[in-house]
Amino acid sequence: MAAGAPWLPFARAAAIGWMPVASAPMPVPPPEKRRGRDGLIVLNVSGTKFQTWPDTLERYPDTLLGSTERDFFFLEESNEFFFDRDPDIFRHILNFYRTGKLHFPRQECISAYDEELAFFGIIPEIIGDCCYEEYKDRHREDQERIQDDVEMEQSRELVSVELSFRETMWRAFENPHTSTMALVLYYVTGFFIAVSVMANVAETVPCGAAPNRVRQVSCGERYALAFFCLDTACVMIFTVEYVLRLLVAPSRYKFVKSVMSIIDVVAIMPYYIGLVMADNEDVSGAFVTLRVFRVFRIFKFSRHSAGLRILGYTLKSCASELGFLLFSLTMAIIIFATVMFYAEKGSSDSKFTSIPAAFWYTIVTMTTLGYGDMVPKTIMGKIFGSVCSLSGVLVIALPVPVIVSNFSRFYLQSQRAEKRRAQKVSKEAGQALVCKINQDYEVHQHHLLQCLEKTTNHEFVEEKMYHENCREVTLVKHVSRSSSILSSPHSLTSCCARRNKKNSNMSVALQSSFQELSTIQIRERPSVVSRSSLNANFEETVPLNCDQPHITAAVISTPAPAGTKTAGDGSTGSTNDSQVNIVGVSAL
Amino acid sequence: MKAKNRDQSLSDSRELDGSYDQLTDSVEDDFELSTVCHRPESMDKLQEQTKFTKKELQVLYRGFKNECPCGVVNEENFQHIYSQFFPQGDSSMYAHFLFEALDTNKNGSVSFEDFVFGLSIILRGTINDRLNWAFNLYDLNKDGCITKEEMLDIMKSIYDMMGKYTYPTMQDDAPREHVESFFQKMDRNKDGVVTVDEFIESCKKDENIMQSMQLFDNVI
Repeated sequence: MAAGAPWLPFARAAAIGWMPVASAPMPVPPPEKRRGRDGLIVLNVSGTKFQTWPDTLERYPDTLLGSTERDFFFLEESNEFFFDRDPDIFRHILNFYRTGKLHFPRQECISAYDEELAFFGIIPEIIGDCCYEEYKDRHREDQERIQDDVEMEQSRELVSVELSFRETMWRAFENPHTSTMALVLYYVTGFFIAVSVMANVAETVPCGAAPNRVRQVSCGERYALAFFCLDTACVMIFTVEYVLRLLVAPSRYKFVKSVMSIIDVVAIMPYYIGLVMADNEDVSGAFVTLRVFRVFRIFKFSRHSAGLRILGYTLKSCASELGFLLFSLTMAIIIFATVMFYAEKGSSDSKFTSIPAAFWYTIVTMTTLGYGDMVPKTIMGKIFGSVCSLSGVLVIALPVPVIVSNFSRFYLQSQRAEKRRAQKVSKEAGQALVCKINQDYEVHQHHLLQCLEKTTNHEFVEEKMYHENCREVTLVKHVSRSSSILSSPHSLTSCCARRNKKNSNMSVALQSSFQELSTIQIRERPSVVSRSSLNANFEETVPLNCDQPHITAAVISTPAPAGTKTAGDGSTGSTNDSQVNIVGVSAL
Repeated sequence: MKAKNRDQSLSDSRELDGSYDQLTDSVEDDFELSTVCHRPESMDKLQEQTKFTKKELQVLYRGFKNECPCGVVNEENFQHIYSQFFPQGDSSMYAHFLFEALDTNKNGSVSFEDFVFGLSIILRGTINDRLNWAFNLYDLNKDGCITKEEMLDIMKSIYDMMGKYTYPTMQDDAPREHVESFFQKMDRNKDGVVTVDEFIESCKKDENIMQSMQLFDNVI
């Protein structure tokens, strides 16, 4: 991290602990860059002067101020850099260089801020966590505002024809605003749901007495045929709609499991069951019960109303609070019912015949309904009755705000969680691009890691290469059992450098002393390291073991600045190499 | 009466949010009472005592203060800073040894003076100074000689920094073997410990080590 750059000299100095134990000399350090300017840099932004050190700005070489791009703004006569931009926003930009965190000032306009960031070459994704949410919210509002304007113009355009018929149908079913046909479907189904529900309701209204009868007859019985036809029509429409939805659903299994489809099924099943069982008189009682399920058709409206869906969801998520409410109410009911029962036991012709009977009184009293069909007559009963009604108000009033606040919290939280999830993805993508470490720092850190590799005579590899190598080692052990190469883990091993067909960022640094063997070191940075898997080349390079005095070392140089390109002969017979575990040889 | 009520309600609320520790009867504050601030000695004094120039001291201090605004580094911070350079391995043990070596007055924190004194020896000292410093680093109990156990700890900490993903695969006895060869080289009289004289003498005889020591000349 750029923040660690000031401690780099210390980290390099700390390597003194490795020197005496390393048996090989350290690799050559990268050349020092002597920077000419050591004084303060003056940044004049529309008259307001800011000053900072050059290396503060150079922490982020990918931005305008950190790169040579700023030279375009240099004024010779006043020896300063002049920018004709907003000084208030520039303050935040300069603070970013100083602290590494970009903050978003809440009182600034979001588009002005964006423009400044774009000018100075800073990606907004690196805004610190403290301000990122606010920034994204403002951005989103801004975008929505622009989007609304654009949408109104674009809403006349047709959807592209790339969607298949099935997908268009599905979209039409799910979102009524996609096309006129979808809208028509939406209204038609809504109408028929309403008609069906009304019919169910109207069926039960008494319609006047039938001729020659005294008893009032419900409209359903009077106009049985009409209602039956209406019901049939509605059910036909619902069935067709359900079957169509099932056909065009992208995932039929998921569709069948969804709540809405279950409601659909439950809404139309009674009719079909009734058709099947209509002739059988024995089960007509059950048939009547089934009709109750027709009321479920009203839930089909939840496809038409987003609010209903949200309500359902929040009830589901507030289940624990509702449960608590129910539990506390039950407790109170049982307590008071018991008390009332025993209090009223003495009085004659009291309605409190048993404790369960007293439940009804307690519920009615606690919810302040007070029907009056059961009233206490004794004095004790009246006292406890009043206590019951007072406590009822409290018990019900207490959990309700909890549920309400939970509801608002859940609602906001779900909104925020969704927001943050979407933000996180783009944020991580931005983080990957930004904050390219100072080249100088990277070079020195790489050298430091090379020294460590030298000290321990092991090399850094990437995780997946490590796993591959583990597999290779077992294979190697298999293949060359007779070979003297792998006689002991610490003897000279010739890990023959596989010829890399893919391009790899291998940097090769040869020791300055020619007694050493050339080692191929792997950069531990995320650059691709590919030691190609053990292949037939191993067979031919097996003879190239430590017994051979001269091995031509090939040098693979990389475009990386740290790569030192040297070539030389390596002799393997040196006694210093009793420690060396790695012999890297590349056969050309 | 009022004060008592306030204390009572305060303790009640503390009990509720769990910050009240009934066992020790102490209250955990959310904030630290005061951050220990340490100001280094004047730059002139530091310049006399170390071999850095004024500009170098300025650069060093700026970096130091940036990372540790309170003027001292405690061990945790130190380990964190050092671990940034070795993402693949575990550098905490080696950082601990470094910390012990830098913290000359053993007060648990490294001030800027300690930091600069250490750096001055390593980066601007003579070969003898540097070797002495390295010996001091290895000698964990500061008794003037390095035993095999001390060296093994150091070696393990260095190998830990490599992490798991190395080529060839890290064997468990790699540090031990390395220690053996080190003692073979350094321990002249074969008495099982390496004294400072043996150490310096052996290092001076080793060309590789001498060459590596020259690395430090240009670090700052």
